Amino acid sequence: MNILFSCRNCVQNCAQGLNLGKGVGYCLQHDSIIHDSEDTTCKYLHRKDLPSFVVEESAEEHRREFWEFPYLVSMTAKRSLRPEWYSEKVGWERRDFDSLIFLSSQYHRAPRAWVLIQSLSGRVDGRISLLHASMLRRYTSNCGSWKSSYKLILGLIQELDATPSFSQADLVVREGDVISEVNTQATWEVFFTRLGAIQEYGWHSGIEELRWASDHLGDALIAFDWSALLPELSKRREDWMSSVIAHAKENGQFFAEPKRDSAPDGDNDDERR
Amino acid sequence: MREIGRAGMANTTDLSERSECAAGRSEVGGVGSRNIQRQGCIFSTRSEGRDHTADLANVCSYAEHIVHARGKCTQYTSVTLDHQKCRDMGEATYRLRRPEVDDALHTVVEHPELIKELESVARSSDKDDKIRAVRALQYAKQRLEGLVHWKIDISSVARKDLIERARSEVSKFFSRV
Repeated sequence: MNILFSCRNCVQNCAQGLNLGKGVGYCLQHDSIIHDSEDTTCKYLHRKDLPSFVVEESAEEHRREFWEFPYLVSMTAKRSLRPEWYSEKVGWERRDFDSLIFLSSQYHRAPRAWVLIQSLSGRVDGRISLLHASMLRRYTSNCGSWKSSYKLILGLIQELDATPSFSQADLVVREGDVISEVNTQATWEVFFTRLGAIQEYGWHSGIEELRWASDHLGDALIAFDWSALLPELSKRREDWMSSVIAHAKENGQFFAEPKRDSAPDGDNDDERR
Repeated sequence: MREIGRAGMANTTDLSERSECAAGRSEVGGVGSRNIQRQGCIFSTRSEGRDHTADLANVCSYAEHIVHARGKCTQYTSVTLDHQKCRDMGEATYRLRRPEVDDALHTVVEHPELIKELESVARSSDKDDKIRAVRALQYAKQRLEGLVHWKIDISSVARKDLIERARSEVSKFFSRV
């Protein structure tokens, strides 16, 4: 079992991470709760920790290893797990109702996915930030286009230099772990999930500066010095937002005229979900 | 691992005797107590009686190995100084037989040496090499990770036999804890 290949590290399980989210998870790919996220995976794994285009070889190997399983899979038992919906009723009865897992379970029932994602932007709660960046990455990947994601990525870049905060109840503290260290790891996990979103958007849009956004961050990143990195992120935030807007304008997509039968702010064809 | 012992655990003794490892992917480790020595675990899925061991034909960088960018098994095996960090890698903890590893002329990349190399790559590289090195640096620090680089001649081994060959070659350097 390797946790990097588990549902904890998959953008489809938006509300959990390697260090965040206790209890059950929720997979948007299979529309199912995940009982044991550390020991569950599937062939559609889309890693949170790195942009997908730098781990393609291992993703392909993983797909080959689990291709025969149509649903979620127990990694250790190699057993297929039937999809199971999240029950709000059971959550309350067991006193373990999780509003972010509930929100994930409602994703496919939301009239406009992009509206739901955009409404999650600008938060300082670390777990919501993880959920936001993960949903965005999944959305962009599923749409296979940057056109419906430029507004969403602007919302994410805007909050790039916000320091996430965590409720202790959200941190996954394992035997031998020190809470403060888990908190620090969770901060970096949220940051890298956001950075991965920017880099994957760069890949879809063909914007080199964003695809290799990590190249523009200096020694503070290598030293994992969050306070030193913050001013650098503030500066890059402006540059990167300008790049996204300029690119969208050049390609005639920046708040293009709405179609006659669409909402006032305009849904693109691939924004219908 | 001697460097790890010196750097991280003042009271650690007998490092060459008892490094731990498990079947699949390994780590270098020791919990900061006086009677814990070098430990590592080789990650194993265990299912179908099949353990992951090194893939000697999968030649890659340290960073690519640590973040699993080029597959789950490579020419390296990770080891850790903290046996509790083995959980990131696999279910079972094994101990690396360091003297035998040294005698067989395999290379152990000590944790400080690994960190130094990853920092160097992160500073000097760009694009995919840079981001992978940065992530690998974080994981390696978190796990107190080191690597074993297996020096095994595979020139006469057929591709289909490589995994089995690696299993038999590598497993003898580990004992179950």
